[in-house]
Amino acid sequence: MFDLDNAVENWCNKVVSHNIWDADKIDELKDHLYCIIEQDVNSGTDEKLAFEKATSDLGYPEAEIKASSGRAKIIQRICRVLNKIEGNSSSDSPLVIGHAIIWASVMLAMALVVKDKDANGAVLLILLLGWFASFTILDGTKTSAKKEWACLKRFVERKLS
Amino acid sequence: MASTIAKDLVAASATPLILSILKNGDSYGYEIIQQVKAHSNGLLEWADGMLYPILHRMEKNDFIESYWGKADTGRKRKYYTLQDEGRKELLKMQDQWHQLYTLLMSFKGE
Repeated sequence: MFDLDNAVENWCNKVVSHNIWDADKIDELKDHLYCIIEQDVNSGTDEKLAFEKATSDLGYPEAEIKASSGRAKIIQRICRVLNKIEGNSSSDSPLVIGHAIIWASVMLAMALVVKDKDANGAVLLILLLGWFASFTILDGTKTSAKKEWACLKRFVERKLS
Repeated sequence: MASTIAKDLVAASATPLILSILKNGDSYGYEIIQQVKAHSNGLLEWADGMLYPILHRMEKNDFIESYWGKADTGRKRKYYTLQDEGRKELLKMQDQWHQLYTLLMSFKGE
């Protein structure tokens, strides 16, 4: 039998773990989700259907979270290996390293093209593709960018001190 | 039947509308969306996910303030209340929208 509270709790956990929503703001989203569900249930909709519709209305249907999770898994697996090599156990770093891999590939491709000065258009296209790939494959791009920046800052500070 | 409002206008009007709703009393996300829908006779329908980033930005700008309360069901609920900065911003925005409307109407007869 469908357990609404459990489904809501699981959905909230997924939304947070995929960096779709901040953990400290999830209670607000949870209340909103319940409000939509309650309205539909009061007008006769089945709880399960109301839940599916509500998550879809909020823009994060369960099915899509699962799909994006599958894409991210491949990158995360590579990152976990890299983490072991680096001896880093942080749970945030896979995302950062994932971006680093993508952007390193982009830069290599750019270096190959840039030999030709007339190839500016192609360079721009590669950069855009890199950005798009980064954005598509990994969730939480904004958060990741902030962490990458913080990481770079720490690196420069260490070098200067 | 009136056509739905263009996305650009929906986005631009979000802040003044939220401020206007909160001027009438504290409210929370879901209720704000319902009020907009009701007041516009369904012409303006906000996507559920779009409201919170706007509310959080407005809170950061000190236009509004949030506090945790309880819903009738006993569930935790975040309410928003209008601040002085928000009141000033609302007056400014109302004035700007009025100016734009007047400008637009001045061309209507031509």
